This record gives sequence, C-alpha cells and structure tokens, in this order.
Amino acid sequence: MSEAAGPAIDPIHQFHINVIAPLKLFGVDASFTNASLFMVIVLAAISFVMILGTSGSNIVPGRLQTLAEMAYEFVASTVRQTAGDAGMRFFPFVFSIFMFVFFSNFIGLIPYTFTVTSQIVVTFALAGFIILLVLLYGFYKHGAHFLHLFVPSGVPAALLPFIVLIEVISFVSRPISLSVRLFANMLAGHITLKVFGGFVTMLLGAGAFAALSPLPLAGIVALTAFELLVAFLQAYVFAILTCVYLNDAIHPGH
Amino acid sequence: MQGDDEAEELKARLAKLTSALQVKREAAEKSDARQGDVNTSAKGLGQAMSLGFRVLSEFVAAILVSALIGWRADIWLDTSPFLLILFLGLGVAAGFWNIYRLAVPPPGRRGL
Repeated sequence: MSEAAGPAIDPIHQFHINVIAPLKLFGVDASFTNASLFMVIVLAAISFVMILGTSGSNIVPGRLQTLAEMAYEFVASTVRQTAGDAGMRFFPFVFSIFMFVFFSNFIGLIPYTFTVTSQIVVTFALAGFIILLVLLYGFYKHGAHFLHLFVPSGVPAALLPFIVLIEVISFVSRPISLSVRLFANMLAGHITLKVFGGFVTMLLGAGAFAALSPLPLAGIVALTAFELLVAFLQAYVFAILTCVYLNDAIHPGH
Repeated sequence: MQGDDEAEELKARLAKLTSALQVKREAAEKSDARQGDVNTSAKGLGQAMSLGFRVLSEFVAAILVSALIGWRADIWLDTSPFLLILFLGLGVAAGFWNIYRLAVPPPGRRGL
C-alpha cells in the first residue's frame, strides 16, 4: 500500500508493525512481529556481550570483557549515586532496563532495522512496570508510611490538600513523562533522518537543484552522530530516573 | 652482615619504586582529570538537551494527566466543566512543581 503511495518519501513506514508469524493466545493477538523479532535480537546481543564478556575474567581484559565491565561499572555507579547503597538491591533491574533501552536505541540506528523503543507501547510498558515496582516495594517496605511521599513536611495545614493533590498528580504523571520522553526522542530522531533522506532523493530528481543534494546528505551525517548521543543519553536518563523513583520507594518522606 | 646489607638494599629499592609509582599515579590522575574536562565540554550540548527534554516532558505530562483526570471525573460526576478547570489548574501547578524539584533537589535527601 505504502509502496504505491511513494516508497522513497514515507518517513513513517519504518515504524510499521509487520506480522511475521500469526499467533492467537486465549483470544489475545500475540503474533510474532518485527518488533518482537528485534526485541529477540536486542536480547541476543546483550546476552552475547554479557555472557562472553564475563566468561573469561582475565586480569587484562579483552574487548568484550572491557565492554561488559564498563557497562557494569557505569550502571553500578549511577545506582549508588542516585539511590544509595540500599538501592543496589535493584541493580539487576536497573541494569536490565538500561541495557535493553541502550541496545534497542543503538540497534535501531542501523539502517533497515526496527527501533523497539520508538513504540509507545514498549516504553510505556517499561515505565508502567517501574512505577508498579516503586508502589509495590514502597508499600511492602514501609506500609502506610509510604504515603508520606505525598505529604511534604513543613507545609501549612490550609495548603495541605492542594499540595497532596499536586504531589499525587506529579506522581501519576511520572510514567507518562518517562515513556513519552524516550518514545518521542526515538520517533523524532528517526523521522528526521528519514525526512532528510527524502530530501536527497527529491533534490536528485529535481533537475538543476540536484546540485543542492549534498547539503541534506551532510545533514544526515551530522544527525546520525547526534542520534548516537541521544540514543545513549536517553538510555542513561531512563536508568537514572528509574533510580530516582526507586529511591523514593526506599526512602519515602525524605 | 651480608643479609643485613641485602635487606637494606631491598628496602631502598622498595622506597624508590614506591615514590616512582606515586609520581606515575599522580600524572595519570592529572591526565584523567583533563580528559574529564574535555568529555564534559563535548557532552555539554547533549546533556543540556536531555535536561531540556526532561523539563518539557515533565511539565506537559503533569498537565495532560490532570486534564485527563478532570475530564473523566467530570463525565463520571456530571459536573462538566468545573472539575476539568480545577484539575487543569492543579496540573499546571504540578508541572511547575516538577520543574522546581528538578532544579532544586530537596535538602537532606541522600546521594542526590
């Protein structure tokens, strides 16, 4: 369908979900799609790096081992700085989330691949799971005392209802902002790249204006470098905010 | 006598090695610090952009969520449009509160 509409200038085409193997489980459409395929690829890549990287444990590390150790130390120091030593029990969780988002973002930058994190369903599932974990752990660890998170100390009694409402709204908005930020960054970046690519082909087919076509091409090169930075930064921000929210569950009411 | 001499020599060598190592370490630390400076200046734009995106998304998300709450509550309680207006106001306040918290980490919180 989109082939007929113009295959070259369709920046949204890359986000299409194509069913590879149809599957119905209890009336739910659980088909294996290209999104699932790339999730599997992401997991395979992470497993490859981490399992092979940690199997050697040489004193002088090789490339893969350096990569694995760098990833570990980076996430571990992030967790320690934001959530303290008590947050280290969540290290496996944060590490999994960081690696998944990081690898999805990076694999998505390779041409002809699919970016898992450019689907709001995926990012919202991650964010919703994080918030659910914060709530469950907070109530499990502190019971009703966890609700002190919504009642800051030193607020006049007359203002308290408003402050509590505002705090609750700001808590509810967390999964939204967390998921939309990652999704929007990935979506916008990929669409920009595709639109610039479309400019190149359009200019090439526009007679004398073809002389201008290197300009958007140079733009793509710069944008790709920028997207690499964004891919890392968004994974980092996602991980660090996970830690910040988990910190609220570990120490509510500050 | 011979053993004592050897021990002395060993101690002297050890001291020399320690001081050499110290010099090496300090130099490495210095170059590390310099590299850190370069990294922060190169990453400055990216970090600023990610912070900007954080501010934007926190602000917008708070307003959207509270507008949604107000809208649904209005339909539920049949009080249109007062709850929507009330929650929009609260949402704006929550958005600013989010940004304020981003800018000023609360005192006394550990590790932030």
